[in-house]
Amino acid sequence: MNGESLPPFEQVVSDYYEGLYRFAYSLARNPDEASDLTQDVFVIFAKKGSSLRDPSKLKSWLFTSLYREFLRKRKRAQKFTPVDKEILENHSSGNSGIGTQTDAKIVLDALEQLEEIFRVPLSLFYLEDFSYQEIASTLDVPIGTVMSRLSRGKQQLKSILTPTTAHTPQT
Amino acid sequence: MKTKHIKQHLELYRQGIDENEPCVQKALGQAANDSQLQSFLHDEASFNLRIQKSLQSISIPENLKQDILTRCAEQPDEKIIIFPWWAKVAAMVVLSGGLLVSFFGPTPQDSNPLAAQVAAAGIDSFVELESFAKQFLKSPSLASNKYHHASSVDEIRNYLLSHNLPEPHLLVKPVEGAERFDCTSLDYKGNKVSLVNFAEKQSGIRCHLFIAALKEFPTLNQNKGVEVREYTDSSAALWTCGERVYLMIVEAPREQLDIVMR
Repeated sequence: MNGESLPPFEQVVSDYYEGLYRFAYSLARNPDEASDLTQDVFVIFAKKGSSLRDPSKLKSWLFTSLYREFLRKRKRAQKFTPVDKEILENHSSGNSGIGTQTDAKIVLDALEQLEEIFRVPLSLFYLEDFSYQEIASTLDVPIGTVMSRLSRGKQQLKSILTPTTAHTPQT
Repeated sequence: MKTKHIKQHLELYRQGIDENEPCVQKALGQAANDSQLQSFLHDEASFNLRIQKSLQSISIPENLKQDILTRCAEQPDEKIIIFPWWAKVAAMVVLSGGLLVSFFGPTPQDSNPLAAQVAAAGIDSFVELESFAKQFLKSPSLASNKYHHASSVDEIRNYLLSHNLPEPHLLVKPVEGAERFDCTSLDYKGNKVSLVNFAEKQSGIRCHLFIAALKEFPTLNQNKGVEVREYTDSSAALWTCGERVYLMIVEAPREQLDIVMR
């Protein structure tokens, strides 16, 4: 315990709800689901946050909770709901997105194509300026793994976003 | 350090965030004297910036913060307090004396300090009234009376007084210079709230002034200063004066609200 105390609840909401929503959106690709996930995290924080002893871990704690909640909900959805492929395709094409800018949509679509082990650290890396150590503790993996996934993920992202050189037929 | 590793650190380098990482420091040191690495660093930084900007432009739902506070305040505290056996016995004894609650009945706020803050944030009158007001503005048909059109503030006041509705005690300054008035009333937890719509004279910006009785908001004090909140395309100010609570919602950014409130 470092002697500092957690900021007031409303302050925590003000400081983190936007970043959490963007992270949730990058995971769920659906504004309603992203809103629900963001709200869920603060409900969890309201119930369990007082057990958090080190305020410097607050950000990491919130993002970890959101990620776990996302995984938990997805697992439950897979268990109980037959997923319609067409719905998934529409979902991932960003049709449901409100207020998502064009470039953001392109980037999110590209991120969507990456495997989750690359997509999640990259989202944290770009969205929230998380340090490598913070990403490691959020995802509960060693820092070396984070660096390697970021590097590989970024290369894949680049290859998706960078148009391939036009093939000129030889005459 | 091999060039491959240097590049790996450089491609993940974000200015202002990663300088303290020893391996990044080394890689930056190597790049300082190598034009090819510098060019590589520049390209990678541009790419990072593009992705970062793109993702940061995901817009946030306007009422999300209020929704969070409202939902958290609505949550029952589910913390289960498990007493040891001796405490149960003691409780039985004390129960007979009718003192159980004072000894063993911690409130949710006692057991969870955050719960008190959540409750306080949840009953934040600003959040509560604003949420209600915005919901109404989205569905104006919820008005309890028909809209009454007026050409002056005095006419508005007379109308509200004659209908026994909260009216601005004094001529509220932002309304003084306005034009194109109309007003109606709303039911808020069984009490009447007046709504005066008007257009600011200079800019024509649509403004909505909600007036309620202060006694309906026990957490607010008399003569509370103006508290402002801003959103993407609207802004709101709440203040109290005498026995009234005023909430002004302006369909414009904060700067315009400041002009209206000046």
